[in-house]
Amino acid sequence: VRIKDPTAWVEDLNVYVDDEEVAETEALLKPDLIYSGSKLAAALWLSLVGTSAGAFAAVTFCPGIRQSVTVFAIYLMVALLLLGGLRPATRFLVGRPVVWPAGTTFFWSVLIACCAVLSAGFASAWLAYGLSVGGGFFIAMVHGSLTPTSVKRENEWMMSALALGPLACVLATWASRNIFSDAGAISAAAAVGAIAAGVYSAPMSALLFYLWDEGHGFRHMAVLLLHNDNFAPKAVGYLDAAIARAPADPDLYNLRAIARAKMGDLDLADADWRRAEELAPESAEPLMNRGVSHLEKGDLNKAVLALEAAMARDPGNATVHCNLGVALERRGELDRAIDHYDRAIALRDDYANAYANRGYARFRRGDYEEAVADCERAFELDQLPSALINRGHALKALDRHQAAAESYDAAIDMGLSPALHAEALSALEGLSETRAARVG
Amino acid sequence: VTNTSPSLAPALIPGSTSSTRGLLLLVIEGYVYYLATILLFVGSVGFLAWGVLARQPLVALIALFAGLPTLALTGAVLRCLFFRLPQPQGVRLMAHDAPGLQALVEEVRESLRSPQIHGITVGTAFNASASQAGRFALFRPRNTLSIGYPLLVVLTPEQLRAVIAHELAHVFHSHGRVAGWLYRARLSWKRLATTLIDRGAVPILVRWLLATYVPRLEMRSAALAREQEGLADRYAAGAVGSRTVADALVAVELGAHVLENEFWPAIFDSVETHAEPPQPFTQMSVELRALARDRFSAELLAEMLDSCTQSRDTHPSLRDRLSALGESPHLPEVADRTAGDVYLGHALQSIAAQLDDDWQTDRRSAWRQRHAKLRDTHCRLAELASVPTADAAFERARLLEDLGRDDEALTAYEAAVSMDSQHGRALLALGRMLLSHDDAAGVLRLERSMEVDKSLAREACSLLADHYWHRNRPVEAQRYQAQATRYETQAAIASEERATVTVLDRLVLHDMAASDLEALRAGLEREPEIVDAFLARKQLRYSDGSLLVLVLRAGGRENRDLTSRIRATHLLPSDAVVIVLDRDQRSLENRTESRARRTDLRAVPGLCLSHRRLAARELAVRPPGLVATSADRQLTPDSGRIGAGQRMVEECQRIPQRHRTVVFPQQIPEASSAHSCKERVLSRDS
Repeated sequence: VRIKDPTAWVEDLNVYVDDEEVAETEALLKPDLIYSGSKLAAALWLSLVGTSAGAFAAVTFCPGIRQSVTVFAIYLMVALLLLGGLRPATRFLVGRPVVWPAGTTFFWSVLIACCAVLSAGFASAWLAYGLSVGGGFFIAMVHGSLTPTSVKRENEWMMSALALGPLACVLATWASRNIFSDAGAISAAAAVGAIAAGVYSAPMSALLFYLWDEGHGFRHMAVLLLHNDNFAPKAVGYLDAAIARAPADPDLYNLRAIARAKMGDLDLADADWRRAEELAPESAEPLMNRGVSHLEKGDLNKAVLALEAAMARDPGNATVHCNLGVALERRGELDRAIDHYDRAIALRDDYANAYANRGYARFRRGDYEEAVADCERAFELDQLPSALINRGHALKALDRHQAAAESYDAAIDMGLSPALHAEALSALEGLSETRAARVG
Repeated sequence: VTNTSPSLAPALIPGSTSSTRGLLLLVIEGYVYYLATILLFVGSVGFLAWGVLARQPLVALIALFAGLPTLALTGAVLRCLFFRLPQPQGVRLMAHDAPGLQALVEEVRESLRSPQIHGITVGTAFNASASQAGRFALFRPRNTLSIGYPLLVVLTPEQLRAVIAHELAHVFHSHGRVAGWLYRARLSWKRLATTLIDRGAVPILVRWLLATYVPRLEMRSAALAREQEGLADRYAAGAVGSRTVADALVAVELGAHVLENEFWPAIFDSVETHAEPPQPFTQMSVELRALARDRFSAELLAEMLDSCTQSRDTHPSLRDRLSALGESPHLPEVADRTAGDVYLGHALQSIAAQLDDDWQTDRRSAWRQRHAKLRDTHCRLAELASVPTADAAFERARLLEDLGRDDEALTAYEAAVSMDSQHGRALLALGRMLLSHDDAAGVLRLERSMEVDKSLAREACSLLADHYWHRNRPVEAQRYQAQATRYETQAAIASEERATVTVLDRLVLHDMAASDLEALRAGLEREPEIVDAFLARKQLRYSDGSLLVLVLRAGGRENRDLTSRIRATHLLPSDAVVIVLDRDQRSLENRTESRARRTDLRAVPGLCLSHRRLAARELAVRPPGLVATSADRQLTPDSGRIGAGQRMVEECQRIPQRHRTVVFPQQIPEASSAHSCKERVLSRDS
């Protein structure tokens, strides 16, 4: 079973996101990107939030709070204060970028504390500690896999969570069994919850601010904006800021070159690719991307040269083969193109774009049935709208007009970049023309 | 006439018991549903209240945050049930006002053995109705007969008698009572739906009911209402003869058409010439009759006969009603002595005066405003007529277009363009008007307007996209739509950039003259809450040029107006950005304070307004246009990342494009494709 990362599309610039959506996402994420207040204060605040959230969650399960109306009313007041006051207090004390981390800290602390308190309630030591470890590990695993936007070092984040989750739960369970054994007492329950949540959230908060990387946040934003050509200038703005913070990261130059190429500033894009090559001489990516920009401009010979150079540098790179295939296909060398697509697929058997492109090359060569099969495989792998369009072309050539029209329609319904949209529409138009001519 | 008001939609026929019982069951079924819906809401409020009282922590927590909204929603749902049906509008006739009409109604009532009529009103529509409403409508209704004033001035006495007989037949069968009840049931559902949809809280049960039960209720009640009309027509035919009823039906249908499409538009057009609102009902007695004589024609009758009964209509179509009576359609005569003259005599004038009075009171101020605006427009038009410039011609054209004089406007736009072929807005307007007249020459004008003025590109592209959509040319439409979106996005980015200061900005030394700076300094000193001020020049990324940026740090809580107060001093250029830092913009502040080496904002020299002595700080400013290269941490290149370049190639993987123009039957659902993209992205993002 192949499990696909739900956020993987962010790194795949082929996915088109419409203007409104890009603008909304940018407005949503922008305020959380930069935090340059005191990191110590923020970490302390988050630890406090986490610890009180844990105490609060543990108290919820404590029979003591139900005993008198006064105590229950006080509990509700505290709940109102904690939940309602979290956002404004965070904004006021440490600033808006910390509001979202404070919310997540609250949430995960509540979960960890609930897990600890509920498992500590079992009389059997095996059951209590077993559930603590298991529950803590599971919660930590989910939390650890959701790396915050501003954290680049995902492994550190994940490993810390995995270590801290079970530890916090076990410590709290031990404390509950050995120190605070008075099950009904509110203070005991609060202490157990606070230990579980504090042991988990305090180091995680410290880690969050230790790993907080503005440049990575900027890069993330730029990649998001690059899903729509209209936002390329803005992406350049974010990448400028990211490069100012990490001037030796070739990936940033590569992305900025892509953004500049999308804007039509090919000279500036070239300069960035050259810089990326200097910084990462073993990588084929800058050369390949330069080839792609030539390809987009229609300079096929230069594109093939650059892509072949990229291939020489990194023969095991499936993407280079796939792109070289496109350049050759456009030059009309269909057999060579298909050969490169085959090699790309041999290197990466789930490479949806290579299948879609091979489908198109086969369509041009006249192998329509094979083309349809390739496109269907591509669509199966990654829901590519371009695969549906290419499938439509092949089906049309096979005189299966109804199926072709359905294929184009399905692609249009997926939301396409303007270029692909135009292609699907003219193909549909051509189809109705052919039909009309036949009826006529 | 399709009308959902109770008076016009009587629904039950006591004679046809099976359908009556069916409808009754349907309404009762609706009440059961309504009860279930209310229980759903009241139940959730009760559950939350129980949670608090029984000290259940989790339920109490939900009650704490969702209790009030749920309570408010429940209240709103209950309020949907309690409302008063509107009373018939118009002038109430007293017994001594119109003895003739009262006698007529009494005579018809006795001949039909219909119950007592409690009141007669004269309304404004070309219609008559009987309503049976009141506090205890189901048991002891007040029967009110409402006769439209226009009927009195067009119908013959016999036709009016037929109309009254028709309405009294409804009263006799108590149609109005149950019709009111049904109408109330339907309106309750409508109000419930609106309330819940407005608050974005439609439970699945209600969603299902709105999709299944409510349409069923409406269909059935409309069907019975139509049966009802047939029955009333038959009774009226029994009382006054079927020919007279048929003539009355035709006269009402044609008269209503003439009233709506000829008489009222003429009245509203007179705002141009009359400063005060006219007296339409007084005018009606002469003019509507004349209009009826003039316009009642075989063509109009054929047009009226053309429409068919729809399943949701509460009244059958004219054709169906006539054929049910067994009469052929004849053009009705327009009598010299109308029903109003015969039965009301001089009272007619005083009724018209009262109706006029109400009508004028409602509209007087709006009428005067509109008249004044039109008068100003005409004055301006007269002024502009003698000015021989393109701008004047353009303004004239716009005013003419506002007045609805499209042909003259078109000529004026053409004149503006011929005077100045570079006049972008005139070209745009001309193109738009030509396209709306289906003249393809508009395309060229719009293209030209984009060339001469880039800022018009977005609007021009949208117009072209619309044009091609209507022409069924989706390829071109999509191309222009994409262009329009691009311009729109670019404009939004550029205007955002002109209004904000962010850490992404490229800031350089400001170039303000020393004297201006001194004035600014003095101006800022007058604001006691300003702590620090920084001035810089921001190089724009998304449009040409640069902007002056003044960033202020202020103490105190109330500095909302500070920005506008500073602007009001005119010490800064009008396009300068003034920002007061708040907690959310700490990042900017920090750049100016702690990281002095990388500071982008430069303090106004000598501007020391408080204990924080800015001038003492040495601030390094990087040279214009260069990106700062100092970094506080080095990041190792991440070679494992997915190469971004591959995506570009795959995106541009191609097929030769074709540009043909053919008739294309398929509408491309633009909105739905955008929507699907949205969904997809969201689901992936989650």
